[in-house]
Amino acid sequence: MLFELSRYRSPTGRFSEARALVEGGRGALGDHLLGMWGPDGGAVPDRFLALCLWPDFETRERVHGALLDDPGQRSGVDPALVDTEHWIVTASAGAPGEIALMQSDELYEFRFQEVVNGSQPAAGRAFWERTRPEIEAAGGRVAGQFDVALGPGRPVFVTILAWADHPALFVGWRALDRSPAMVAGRQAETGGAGRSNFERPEQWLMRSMPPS
Amino acid sequence: MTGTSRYFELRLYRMLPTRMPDFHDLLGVQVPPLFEKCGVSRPLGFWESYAGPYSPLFGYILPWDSIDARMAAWKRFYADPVWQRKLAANYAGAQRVDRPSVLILRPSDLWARFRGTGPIRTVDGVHEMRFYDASAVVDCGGLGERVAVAKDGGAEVLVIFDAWIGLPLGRRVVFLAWPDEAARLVGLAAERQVFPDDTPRTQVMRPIEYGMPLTGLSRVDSVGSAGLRGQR
Repeated sequence: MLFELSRYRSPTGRFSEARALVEGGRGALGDHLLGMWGPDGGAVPDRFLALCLWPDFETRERVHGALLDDPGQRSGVDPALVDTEHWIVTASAGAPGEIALMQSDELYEFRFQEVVNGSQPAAGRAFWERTRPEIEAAGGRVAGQFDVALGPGRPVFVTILAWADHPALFVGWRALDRSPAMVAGRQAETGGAGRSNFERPEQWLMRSMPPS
Repeated sequence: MTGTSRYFELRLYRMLPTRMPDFHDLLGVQVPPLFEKCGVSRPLGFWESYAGPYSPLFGYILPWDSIDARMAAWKRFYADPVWQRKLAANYAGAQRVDRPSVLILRPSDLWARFRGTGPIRTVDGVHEMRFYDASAVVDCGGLGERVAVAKDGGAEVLVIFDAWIGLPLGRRVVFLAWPDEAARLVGLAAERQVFPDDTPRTQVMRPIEYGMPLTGLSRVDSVGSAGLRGQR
C-alpha cells in the first residue's frame, strides 16, 4: 500500500477556488482519499494538504492521473493552484500496523522534519517507543508518522499530531521540552551521532477540511 | 529511444564534502551488478557537479515504464544482503551523502520539439540541469522559446521533463549540453539578450565517463553496441 501526501498552495485570495478545483476530483478519489486539511490561522496561509492511500501505482495513475493533468492545475495562465506537490510516503520504522488517521475537529500539527541521513530506522523507533508516549502524556495524539520515499531533500519524516486546541498544543510542547525522557533521549542521540536525529521542523497547523 | 519510457527517476545526492570519490566507486563499480541482479533499470547518465546551489552534487537518471516495477526493484535492492552490508558500513562512520532527492518525472511534450534526429552518440562537454516554473516560463515568453534560444546558441537539448512526484507540478527540468564552458558562457550571454530579466536556476554538471549520457538520453540497448563503436 502506498500513501500519497499532496501539498497545495493557492494564490492569496483564491483559496476557495483552489480547494474547489481539487475537491472536484474528490468523488473520483473515493475511498482512496483519507483526508484533507486546510490552514488554521495564519501560520501557513493558502496551503492545504490531502492524504491518499493506493494499493499500487497503476491504480494511482489511473484514478489520480487525470486529475493531475487537469489544465487548471498545470496551466501557467493565472492558475488557481500555484504549487501542487505530491510525495509518496511510507510508515516510519517502528510504526504500529494501524495508524489512527481519523479526521476530527482537533488542531492538526504537521511536522515536516529532516532526519540525519542514515538515522531513519533509529529515529523512527525512538519516536514510536519514546516520544509517542510522552506526546500522549502531554495531551497530544499521534495520528501518524511517515518517511518520505519519493520526494525532495530526503530523508524527511512527516509527523501528524492532533491537539485539542492551541492552548493544548502550547502546554503540550512546553511539557515535552521539559520532559526528562525527551531530554535524555536527545542527549543520547547527540552523544552517539554528535547531533540529534531530527533537524528543526517545518510546522503546519491545520484543520480537517470536510467536503464543502 | 527513450520515448518508450513513461517515467524517469532523477536521483540527486547532495554529498558530504570529500566523499565524492567514494561515491564514484560505489556507483561506478560496486552498484551496477547489484542493479542488474535486482532489476533496477540501467542508468541513462551520471553527473557530478561542483557549481550551483546544490553542490557538491551527484546525479543519475533511471528510465521506468511502471512505477510499480520501480518500487519492486528498489525493494529487492534495499533488501539485498550485499547492499545491507554496504549500508551498514556507510552508516558506521563512512557516510557519503548528506541529503538525497528522489524525483519521478515524465517526458515533457516540449521535448519532442527539440529531440535530434541524427545518429546517437555519447554527449560529453559541460551540462546544465535547469529548473523552470510554469508561471515564470509564461512570464518570460514560454519555455519553448527559451530552449530554442539556448539551442541556437550552441546547446544540445538532452531532455525536457515535467515534474510528476516530488517536485511541484508545472516545474520543468531541462538538461542542456554545451561543448565546453566557454560555449556555455557565450550561449548564456545570448540568452540574456533575449530574456534580460530571467536568469535560469541552474546546476552546472559534468557527465561521468562510466555513465556518459547519449543523444536524447537514449538507452544503450536501443542502439546496440555497434552503433556506439568508436564513440566512447
